[in-house]
Amino acid sequence: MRVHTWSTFVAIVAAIGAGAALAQSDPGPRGGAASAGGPLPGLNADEVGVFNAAKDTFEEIDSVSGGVAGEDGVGLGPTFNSNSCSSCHAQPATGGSSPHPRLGQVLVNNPQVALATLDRLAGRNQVVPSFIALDGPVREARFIKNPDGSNDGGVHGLFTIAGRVDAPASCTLAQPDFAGELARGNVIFRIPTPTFGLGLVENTSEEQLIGVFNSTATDRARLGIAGRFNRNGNDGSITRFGWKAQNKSLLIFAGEAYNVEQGVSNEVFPNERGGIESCEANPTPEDHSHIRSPAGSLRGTLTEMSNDAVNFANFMRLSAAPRDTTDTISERNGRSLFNAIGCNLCHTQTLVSEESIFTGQTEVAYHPFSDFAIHHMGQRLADFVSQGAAGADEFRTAPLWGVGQRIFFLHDGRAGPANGGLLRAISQHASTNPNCVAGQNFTADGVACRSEANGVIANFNSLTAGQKQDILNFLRSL
Amino acid sequence: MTCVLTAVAALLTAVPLCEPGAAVQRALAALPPESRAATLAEVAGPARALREQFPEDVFAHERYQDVVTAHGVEGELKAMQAEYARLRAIHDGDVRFLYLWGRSALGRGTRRAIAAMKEVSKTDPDFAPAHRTLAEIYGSAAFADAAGEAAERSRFLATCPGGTLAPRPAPLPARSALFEHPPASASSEEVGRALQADEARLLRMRLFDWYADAEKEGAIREMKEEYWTGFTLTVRHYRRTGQKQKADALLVEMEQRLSRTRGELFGVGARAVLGLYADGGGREGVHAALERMRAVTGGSREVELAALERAFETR
Repeated sequence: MRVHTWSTFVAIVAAIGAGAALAQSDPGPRGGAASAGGPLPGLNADEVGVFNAAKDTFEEIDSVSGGVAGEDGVGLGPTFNSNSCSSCHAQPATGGSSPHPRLGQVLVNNPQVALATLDRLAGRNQVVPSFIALDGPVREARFIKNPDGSNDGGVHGLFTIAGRVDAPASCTLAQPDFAGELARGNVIFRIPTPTFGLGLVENTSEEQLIGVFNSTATDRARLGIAGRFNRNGNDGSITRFGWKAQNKSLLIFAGEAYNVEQGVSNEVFPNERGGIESCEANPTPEDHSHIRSPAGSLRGTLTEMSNDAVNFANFMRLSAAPRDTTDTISERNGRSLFNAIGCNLCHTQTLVSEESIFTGQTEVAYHPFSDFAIHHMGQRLADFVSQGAAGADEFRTAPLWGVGQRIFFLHDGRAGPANGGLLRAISQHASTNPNCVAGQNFTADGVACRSEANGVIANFNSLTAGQKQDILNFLRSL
Repeated sequence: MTCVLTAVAALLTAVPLCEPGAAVQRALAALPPESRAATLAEVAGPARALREQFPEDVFAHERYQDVVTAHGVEGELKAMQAEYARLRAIHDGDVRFLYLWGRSALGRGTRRAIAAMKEVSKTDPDFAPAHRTLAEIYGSAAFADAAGEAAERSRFLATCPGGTLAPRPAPLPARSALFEHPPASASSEEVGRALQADEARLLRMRLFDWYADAEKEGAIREMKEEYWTGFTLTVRHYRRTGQKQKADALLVEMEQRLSRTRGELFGVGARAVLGLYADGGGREGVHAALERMRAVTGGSREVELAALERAFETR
């Protein structure tokens, strides 16, 4: 018997929400030990040492000056969403996704709430935006349009350093007007993607991704699933990290997040964001490679001499994939049904890494449950933000490994404990735009009239309650 | 064309630039006094207006640069350097703007400033401000060069007898007295203001190459120590004023910070935390906190923790 932490709660919510006797319910995040968080199995001792040291950097907390006790990192702000990678990538272990105060393994509040008051001078606290709650998902906010009507799509930090004790007194930068932008329908959200096992993904050949994708073409076509890969604008290669598969490598992913989420300029994204001179408190890039080790030597360990972004990338690159626990009859039946109704056509179960520089990581079969392609999801999930080739409603197939211990789902965290969790996430895959006329495939802003997942979700909906429950149980075993 | 401009510039600078002309002197004297703690936005206006009134006067520009250097943060300092790079390009061949461009790097990229001053001196050996600036740089601890300082001072004084040099860098503000002798009555607001003032002091070191990396690291370490004292004073203030919940929350936060503290500062933080438990609940609280510290540090801090345990047992 598995231990699940919210099954009763969710069952009640689901029953009330549906107004009918719904037997199936999300069992909630799987209990027990975290299924991820350690180094890749098979690494040698040196590589494990690099992983552990890089993890320390991933867990470091940044302040503006680096002078605040217990906040050794330098370069926070001028705007930021958090002050440490691990504060948001937390559940079920360092590297994961949003934590929750009562569910999961880590049991902590949304760390963003405390940032409104942390290290603030008297009377200088900031406002927690309405879409951030103690038991809600960690979120970043993006504005769809600029005030002049042109496309924005960029991240607008929830907080600024103004009023922090270690910020220059000259910095008076106000928080964005989230209430106003929300009222104008101009805000979309993203939640942190888990980073476990990403070294395997990075080390998977394009040929394999394309080959596996092409192998399902006939079955996909039958269900109305298209899809394509997001590609880098320079070399044309497949990009694979982030909600829209917009980032090419883990280093770019780390450097971009460091700059955007924490406001730390670095050697990958070297310029301070915002252009507010009076709030720029440090020479840039704030995070950089080190000429000398902490001991003053020109030689040091990889972690000591590298910049933080490289360490973050190494932590992700060397982190193990989540371990599944698929075992019960229901879970195994759920796996069969998952494949039978077509979920696996996008949520590809198995890929194999190619030649690796790391010990024991060559040709490792792993189970991300993603094709790493992008798909049109229609009006319901569309966020109207373009990243690389991915348009308004295109999203990367979210990898399902580790989903058994996740709290919040979908790119904006709209599915979670309060509204049915995984069941809601599944239902949100379907979308049909009633304003589209016969024969119309896309709206003027590039959103598909019908989600590519409609056929699969119709299959799901046709299952019995018990079969649906098996699929939910299977997902919670990943 | 460049030769003509250089000749014009030479004519313009034929009068030794030892001190401001009478009109600029009057304008400089009329500038309002500046508080050291003021932000650049608060004090830049008059100096900027002076520069606009005398756009080709070296001393008006120097005053503006000094105001930015004394009050500006990284972004503002960078913007000033970019501005003088533009002015140099616009006034190509004018030794004054070559000088001012070099001077804008003083304390930021001082080696670049030295090179610029040497270039100025080569172009116009009688350009006194360059000799003055070089003498000031060579007189600093970070770029100490006794022979260079003597030579440049002598060249400067030969052109400008009785001229004076400024110490480089300008002295830092003193550290807040609050942390030297913490008063029992300090309020959380006072602590916040003192920490902010010392962070501002740290910033005036962090952004300048007058200070060696070791000095900067030492200042960061001192700053962190001040935070531990500041947290302690704040918890005591909350307790004194009946804000138990706030006091308890900050004490929990201090323990979290301690779990992330490395090196010698761990002992400073641990002592602060244990001191507050000793104040608040006596031996039981101290013992429980010590056990939590032992659990977090996994035995790596046992020597320090054992010493602290003994110290608090005998209190």
